[in-house]
Order: sequence, then structure tokens, then C-alpha cells
Amino acid sequence: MKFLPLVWAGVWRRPGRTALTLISIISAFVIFGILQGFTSGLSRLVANAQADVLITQSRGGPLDRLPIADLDILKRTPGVRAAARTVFFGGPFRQPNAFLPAQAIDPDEARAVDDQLHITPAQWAALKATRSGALVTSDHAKLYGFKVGDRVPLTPQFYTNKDGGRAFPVDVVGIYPSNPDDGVFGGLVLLNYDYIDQSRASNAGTVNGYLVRIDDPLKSGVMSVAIDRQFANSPHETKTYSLRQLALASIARLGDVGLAVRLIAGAVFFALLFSVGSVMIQSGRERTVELAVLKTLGFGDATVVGITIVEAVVICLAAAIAGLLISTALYPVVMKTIHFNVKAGPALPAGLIVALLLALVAGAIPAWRAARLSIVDGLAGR
Amino acid sequence: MEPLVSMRGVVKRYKRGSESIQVLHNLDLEVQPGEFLALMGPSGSGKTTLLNLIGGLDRPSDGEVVVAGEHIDDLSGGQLARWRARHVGFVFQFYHLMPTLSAERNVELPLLLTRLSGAQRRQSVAAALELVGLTDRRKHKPSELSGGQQQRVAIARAIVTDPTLLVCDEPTGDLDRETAEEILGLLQLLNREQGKTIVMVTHDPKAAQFASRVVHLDKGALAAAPAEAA
Repeated sequence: MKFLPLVWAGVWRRPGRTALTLISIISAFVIFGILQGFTSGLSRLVANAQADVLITQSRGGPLDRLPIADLDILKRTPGVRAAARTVFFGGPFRQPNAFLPAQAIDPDEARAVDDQLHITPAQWAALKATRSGALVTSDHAKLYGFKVGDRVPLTPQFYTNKDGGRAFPVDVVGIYPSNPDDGVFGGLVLLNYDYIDQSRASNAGTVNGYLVRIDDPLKSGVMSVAIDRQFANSPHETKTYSLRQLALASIARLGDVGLAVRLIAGAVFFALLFSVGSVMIQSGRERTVELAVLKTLGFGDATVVGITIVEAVVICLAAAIAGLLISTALYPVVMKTIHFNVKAGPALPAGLIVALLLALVAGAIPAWRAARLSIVDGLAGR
Repeated sequence: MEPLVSMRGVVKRYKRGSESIQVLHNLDLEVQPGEFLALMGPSGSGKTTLLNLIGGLDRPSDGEVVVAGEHIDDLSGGQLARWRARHVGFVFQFYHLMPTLSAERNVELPLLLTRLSGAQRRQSVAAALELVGLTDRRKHKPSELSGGQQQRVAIARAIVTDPTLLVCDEPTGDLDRETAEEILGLLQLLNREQGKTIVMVTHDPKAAQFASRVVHLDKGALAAAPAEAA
């Protein structure tokens, strides 16, 4: 700590140059933070996808419906712990480009399949007790100003009401906390299947798919095959995946995102290393006499090396933290611009490690020179 | 009395490309405790090389250098650095202060290598700056001080650890006559009242008059001559 004023004075020896160096490092870490947030967000999606939950949909795709009668067959399948019906009921809300995700479910079935939801027993009971009830997330409540007791007209993408209108009025009976680690039903407006099924003008008695919870997550592949075999050669053949497989397949459709991100970040940091490294080397050269004086006063090689490295670390870490904070603020804007909806994963730990490595590599040459500096040559400015 | 500095058979050679240049030739020198010695001689006579050996900034090619009872030519790099921090204060022609640090932070530098607390360091710095008459300038950076004031800060930095020996390389070489005499007076005061042993390199015979003994070097060999007392 007692060397900090010396380090600080070294950092600000040339304020203009230090400011430009900080700006270049901050810019690189803004890019890094956004890319890292995106890739770690994708990884978190996969990690959070429950391995013991399968999704059974029509072989023709999720927009083809399956009959509700399949539910009993699924529940009776050996190795299945629980099964839950799902009907996509999301659609534009208030504005054409604002999408409100919603699903029609049976509360008891949903609870049995997804035990990660932060919904209280009282909220589940309220949903069961109110046929037109809806549980909304705290994010949606904040965004649209929903309160318990509000009547909200939903306008689903694929359905019209039996009364001929587009709207399906629902009553908000509970607000549950949004959580990035929520299970399969997290982040959705949850509605009663019976109300939706009896109100829609078409496709009564069908679902978009089933969520199936199995006893052994290690047997997800075997169970998927077993389930699909039951419906083989029927009018409604199925395709079953684990949620984790589904998440991986969705990410794979984007290409090798991880490799692309590593290549871009690598190129940025390679260029940055040269610019920061040359600034550090130049700064070290300008301070040859000062370093020689420190050694004259009794500062050992290790202390002089330490001071030189810590200066580089201070600059790189301060700029990295600033860059990562800016990237956190910019991330939602970037995601909106490129039409992706991936919540940012953690970028700070990886960013700090990269900043530390950058400082050590950039500071290595001036530190090595400082250690090897002969006092007599240094005092003579050689 | 045991000499504070004892050099026996000291040789110093430098390599310049494939050529070896001998700067000091089998040199013997003793400096007594409390002495104020001026080293004089023409450019290239080896004065600064000799001073660097006494201050432990360089090592002899041959011979032995004993300062304050320590064979400093036998010490490792780290040991020598610690030895310098404890025993030697340095004053240079061009002051060599850290341009980004205030006067008091410059003076504090050698104390950072000690186990003193922050409060104790501040106390020592204040005492050293008071001794050189710069208490009111302690917050100023070197660029805000005159040459004479900068050299006073450098002297405060040299004495703040209370070293046994002060080595001064042309301490007045960059100052006008009046300021130079002030600085030399200050060194003489440190010698006479604080008992500091001082070895000073100078070109200037008037500066040498402040010393208690003058030694002449010529082509790397000593030619002792008695100095007139100041």
C-alpha cells in the first residue's frame, strides 16, 4: 500500500497518453463484455435447461397440434413422473411489435413438471380458483403496469375468440418473480387451459406439446425414443427431445457462436496488446533515469519490477471494469438491435482474467528491462 | 580509528565492444568517519567511477571495497541494494527527483523501504525538510521549485534515513555561484554538526574548499594533495 502513491504517480506521468490508453482498453472491453455476456448467456440457457424434462411435440413441428388424449398415455409411460399440457398463447400486446409470451396450462400438471418456479402455493390456488385467471411475471407487471385484480385483454397470435373477437380477457390473480434461472415455465404469463380451450374458436381439445418429467435424467435419450415409439404410425406422430437438447440445437442453428466470439475477441486483444505494450515500453524508456534512481536508493529488482507491473495492472483493470460496466448498460440495446433475446451471462470474471493477462504481458518487457537496468547506465540515461 | 571507506588495489575496467578500457588502476583510498572529502580531476579521470564504487552502485573488476565494515564487493545485487538503503545517501548533479511526486513524497522514497509506519515516515520527512529549510515547499513538485530548492530536496532525500555516508556527484554543477555556495554550506553543516561523512566529486576548486580534504585523480590513479580548510 505504501508504494501506491509511487504507482499512481507513474500511471499519470503523462496524463494525455494514459487517457488515450484507457480509452482504447475500455473500447476493447466494451466489445468483449457484450460478446462474453452473449456467449455465457447462451451457455446459461443450456445449463438451466432441465435435463430431466422432455418436450413432446408433433413430428410436423410445434405448430401442429397433438390431441389432449395423448396426455394419459404419456402419464402411464414407465419412467415418466409427470406430464403437462402446453398451448402457446403468446401474441402482440398493446403494440404490434410488443410480444407478450403466454401459455395455457393445467396448474397441477405444471407444478409437477417444473418445481423451479418461484410461485407460491397461494398463487397456484388463486389460478386454479379463477377460471380466467393469469399469473404474470414481475418483469411484465413492471413493463405493463399489471396489478392483481386487473382485467387484461390478451390477443394471441394463433387464435380468435368464439365470440368472433381477437381478445381473450384474463384476470391477473398473482405476480411471480422473474428469475433468469426459472424453469421451463419461467418468464411466461400462465393461464388456465380449460378457459382457453373452451374460449378459442378452433383447435379445441388439442395442445402444442407436452412437457414430460422423467425419473432418471441420464435416460432422457432412451425415454425420448420410448415415448415416440408409442405414437408411431398414429395420425399424430411425435418427436421428443430433452429441453437441454432443444437448447443446444437452437444455439447450433446460430453456428459456432463460441468460436466466432473467441476469434473476434482474440483479434481485438491481439491489436490491443501491441498498442498497450508499446505504450508501456515507451513509458519505461522515458523513465530509465527514474528507475535507476529508485535502484540507487535501494529499491531491489523485484520491487522495481513489481511497481512496473502494478502500474500496468492498475491501468488495465480500471479500464476493463469501466468497459465491462459500459457493456452491461449497452447489452440490452445491442440485443434489441440484432433482435436476440438472450439474457447476459456473467462477463466480469472472464474480463478481469483477460485484463490481468493483458497487463502481465504488456508490462513484461518494461519490467524485464527495469530488472536488468544497470544503475550506472541508467543514471547516465543510456 | 577504523576508516569508514577502505579501498585496496581497486581496478575498474569497462568493455566497449571488443575493447577493454581500464578506468581505475590499482587504487588505494581511505576515508575516515566524519571526513568531508572532495574528489577532483579532469573529465575522464575516473572520479564518478570511484564514487560509484564507494556508493555501491558498481563493482570493482579487481581489489576490495570495504565501507562501514562491509565488503561490499562481495555482496549480491539484492544485498547491495539493501546495504545502500541503510548506509548511503546520494546527491546528484541533476537532482534526479521524481517529477510527478511532491517534495515530501520524493523525500519519503527511501523510507518506503523501511518498516516505519506512515506517521513515523511523515515525521522523518518533516525533520529532513526542516533541516534543508524547505518546510513551506513540501507540497510543491520539482517543476515548481528552483534548481537550488530541488537540490535541497535531493539532500533531504539523501539524509532522511540518517545514513552513515553521503556521496555527492557534482552537487553544484548545475547551480549558479550563490546557490552553489548555499548548497555547499548545507553539506558542510551536515558534516560538522550531524557528523556525516561526505565524499564529493567536483570540478570546481571553490567547491573543493568546503571539504576537509581534497584528493586528485588523474588517468585513474590517485595524487593526494592537502586541501585548505574552508
